[in-house]
Amino acid sequence: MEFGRRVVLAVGVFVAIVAVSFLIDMAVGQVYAGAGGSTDSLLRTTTVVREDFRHGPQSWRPYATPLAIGPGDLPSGDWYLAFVELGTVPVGGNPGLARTGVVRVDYLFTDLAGTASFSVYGLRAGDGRTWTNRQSGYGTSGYYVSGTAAAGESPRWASPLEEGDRYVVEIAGSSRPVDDDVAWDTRTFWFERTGSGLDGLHITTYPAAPKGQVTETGDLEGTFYVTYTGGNVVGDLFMMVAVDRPQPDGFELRLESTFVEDDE
Amino acid sequence: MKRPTYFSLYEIALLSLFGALVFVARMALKIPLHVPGNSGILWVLPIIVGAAIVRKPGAGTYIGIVSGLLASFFGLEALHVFDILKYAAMGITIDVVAMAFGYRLDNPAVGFVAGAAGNVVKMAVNYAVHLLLGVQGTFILIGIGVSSVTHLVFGGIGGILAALIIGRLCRAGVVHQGDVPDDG
Repeated sequence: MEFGRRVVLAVGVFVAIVAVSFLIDMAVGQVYAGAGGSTDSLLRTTTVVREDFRHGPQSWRPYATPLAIGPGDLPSGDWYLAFVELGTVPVGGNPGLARTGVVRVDYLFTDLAGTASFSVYGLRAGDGRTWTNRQSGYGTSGYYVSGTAAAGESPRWASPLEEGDRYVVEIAGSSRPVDDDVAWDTRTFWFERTGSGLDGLHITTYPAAPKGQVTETGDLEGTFYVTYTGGNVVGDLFMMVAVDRPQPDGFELRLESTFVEDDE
Repeated sequence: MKRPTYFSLYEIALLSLFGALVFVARMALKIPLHVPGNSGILWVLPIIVGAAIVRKPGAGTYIGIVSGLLASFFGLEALHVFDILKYAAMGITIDVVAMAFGYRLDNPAVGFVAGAAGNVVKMAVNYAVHLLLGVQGTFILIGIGVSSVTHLVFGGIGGILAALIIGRLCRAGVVHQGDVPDDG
């Protein structure tokens, strides 16, 4: 075949590849986002009960160096930690190149004793490198809810995490074992180094303010958003719920999470 | 009696150095464009130049595998051992294009085709591995249309640069074009 024809054929193949890519893009967009732009297929509902607080009591939450859980910079108090997979992830980056969006989280507490603290953990796609929301300094974000129920008995099943840069945490929610002999689902959070991984994920009450803010409220029902302002792909997203005292038997936290596109 | 080998010692040394150059270029040089596929400009250069110098089927694949092994062992990217697949896929694709065009990689049009094809195939393998590993399809596949265009463009630019470099090497007498097969 003549040289020039081969080049033209190659360009034709490229055009076909691009056309197929756009077709896949559109098809996937319709499957996941639906014709009306809704992302209901990504909605996940998780219920957290007192048995899901698998870690604690401890004054800090996982990172390369211990972070405070309550409002403020310094770890203090005795907190019990539960980790919930949200089932969807925020997408950052150039909005012209990807369908960017945030994760909307609706929460509803029943019989909350003391303060509940929400923190977010995201795993980079493909490895266990983990990001979390900043706890102190410029760009701090967090969400705290106060309840008035009486405290319950100390959870005998909980044990504190060990300090380090790698944490194996038990995941609460859908696959809760009914037998103590059956192991819980676990995930490993790995923090590369101190100072890294604190400025990508944020908790905000307004998606228009993606860097987030610290919110303290007494509303047992509400909404906040998880945003990502980095340039990588978040593979999995986890919400850490921490409570500063043992919860009563009637405690329940219902979390609904879904993906919300930026331009919706 | 000495057994004949497919690649000579000189060629193996050269291809290994080019493989290392891919790895070093990926690690040391960052283009802060935040556009998918922009690293293809740097990535395809050593593979195309190496394939053009050695002019044997498998040269690009060899460079791809060497760079993939280095990237895997040093944990350069998120996919770790699976990185070998995308590096090797790019090398194989450039080999195929080079053979199809009779190793006329000093021609900017061929350079563009080789670079663009290599970068697009790398993208496809990357998406496939992410899906295989269970990274949510929604966010991997959304944007693949634009991503394919940017991979083509950046890979193509890298390929054109490689062709210009090869042309200069030819004129300097480093690479000999005497045995370039006729197109047919």
